[in-house]
Amino acid sequence: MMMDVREWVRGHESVACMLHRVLTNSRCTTPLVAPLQQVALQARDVVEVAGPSGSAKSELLLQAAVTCLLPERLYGGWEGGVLWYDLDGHFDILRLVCLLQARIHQGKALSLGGLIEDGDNIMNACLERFLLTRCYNSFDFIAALQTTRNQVKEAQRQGRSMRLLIIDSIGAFYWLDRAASLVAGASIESSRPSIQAVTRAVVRELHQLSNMHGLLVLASKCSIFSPQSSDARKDTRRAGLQHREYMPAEWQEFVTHRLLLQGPMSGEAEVVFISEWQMPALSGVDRFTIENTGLKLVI
Amino acid sequence: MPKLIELGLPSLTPEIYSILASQGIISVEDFMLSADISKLEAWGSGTLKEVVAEILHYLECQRVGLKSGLRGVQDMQAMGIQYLPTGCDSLDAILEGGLREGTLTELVGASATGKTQLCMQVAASVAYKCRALVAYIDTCHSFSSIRVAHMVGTLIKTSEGHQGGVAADELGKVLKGILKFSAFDIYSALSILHELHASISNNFQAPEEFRHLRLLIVDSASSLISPILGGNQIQGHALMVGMGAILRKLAIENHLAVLITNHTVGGEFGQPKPALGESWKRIPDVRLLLTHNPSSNASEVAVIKHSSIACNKQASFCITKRGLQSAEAEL
Repeated sequence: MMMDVREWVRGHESVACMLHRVLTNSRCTTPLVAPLQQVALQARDVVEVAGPSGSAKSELLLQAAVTCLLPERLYGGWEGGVLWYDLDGHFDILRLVCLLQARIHQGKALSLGGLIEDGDNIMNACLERFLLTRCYNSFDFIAALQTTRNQVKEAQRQGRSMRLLIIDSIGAFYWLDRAASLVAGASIESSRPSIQAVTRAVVRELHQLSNMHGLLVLASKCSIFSPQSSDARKDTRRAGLQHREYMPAEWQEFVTHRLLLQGPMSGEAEVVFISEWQMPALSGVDRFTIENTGLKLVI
Repeated sequence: MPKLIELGLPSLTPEIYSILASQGIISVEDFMLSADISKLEAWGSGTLKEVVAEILHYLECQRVGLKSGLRGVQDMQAMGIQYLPTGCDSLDAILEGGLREGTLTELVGASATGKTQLCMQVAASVAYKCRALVAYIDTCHSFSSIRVAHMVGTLIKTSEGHQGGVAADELGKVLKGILKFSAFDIYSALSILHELHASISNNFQAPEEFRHLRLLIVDSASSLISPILGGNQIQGHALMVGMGAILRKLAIENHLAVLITNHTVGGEFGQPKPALGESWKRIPDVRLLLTHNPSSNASEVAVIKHSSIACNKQASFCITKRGLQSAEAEL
């Protein structure tokens, strides 16, 4: 009772803090990747990129991270830090370096002999802004999120502001968490946490991290159900990419935007993927190919 | 997970302990699930903030933490990226070098398409050309040491160019590098994998045998998992994902190339699709589909999933008495 009154009187933050938090949005917001450009995203949004395995979700997240890392001048990037939580174990540092090199090379070619900084310096500066951690189960993930606070504060003290928080992929521990909650504890103390409790903790930590630092959250989600009918796949122009939800309600409420991906499409000369916005529901699908310099929309 | 009092935190006074206990936070697990850190830090006195900081410090020490990309690149350069040759040149060409260390490759194919032959060829090739150890987990009693010996013999003859027989001790030295384990159910396979992980990770106590282990083959992973997988049943899926997790750990932390095999089941329109369902699809980095072409008597390999190469390449090989020989792929 005493605690509640004190908390109510003291409040959570001063007006100065709030204004500083909200008004630092005069920052670059060019679209990170081509499929995301139709919807104006801002800080504290949570975008879920869902699709079956092999539909370019991780590639999309990686290309978005590269755009965020690159400097604004000449490369059109956000010049911000990226926090990457690798839950799947699929992260490949070589692919990140390859994409950065391709974009730096492209930027240099377009600069037409103006003042060019050394490519290596830019590469090193970008790589320093990229922070990666691997998690092996849900508790490891929660611990990682809780311990990130201090590390982000430290990075900000050194003048690097974080802009993007990426999770690849959020459904990685789904079966493990569901099975863990079924195991009957030997004693009363070891009551297994339900998947809802674990998801609630993850959402709470993500919410606090993204709120405090104005981060945009991008999460990939791999589907665990096979596609039901094959008709929708044949006609790529008709909207209606399939999506069956399996994450708990706490996660579903946290997500503010959802992009569905599918591919690669058969019967095409190039390797083409399709994307469709489900939340907000936009009609029409985008078709894109993967290149080292970015995702290119094709007609 | 330990209780908070067991951690020996200097700032944890009985008063702070009762405040936390009134919120239901008694163990570290409770802290992770229920503690709203921003609220606790904003509320409480300095001591409560100190306790929260000490608990977070404890959590930080338990895990590796955030690593910058620059550090990651330096570590990678120190370790060196190795592509292990598969022994089949056409396959190496489409994989841009071979099996990459730190990745999980899956061979999918119906019966008698050459999966086990390819596994044995890769084992022979890595044991001979890289002078490395290979761990081969055989689950369907299809490993044949005589066949592997023939393959190694062919490799030695082609590289050293002599027509006559191969010295027995040279052959023996290479074959000693292939360690075969038998496992017929998922639990024994999981215990072998966990033991491997533990003995390689403990640098000081690694038995001499495991120091240069570079390749792990599980033939076939699907025969271990299919019996326990039934419909949408939770335990089976959890065991399958758990197996995927330990294979990944072996690949990433112990820097191995992992090769597993999977069979096919009937899909739509009679097209065979890989077994083990949708949840398994995301686990391998690279998936190769093997089909047998009866007219040319060759097996064709197509890349159906790859994390960094486009999936429109094909290679072809023939199974001969001397091992696997590359053939021209029919386009």
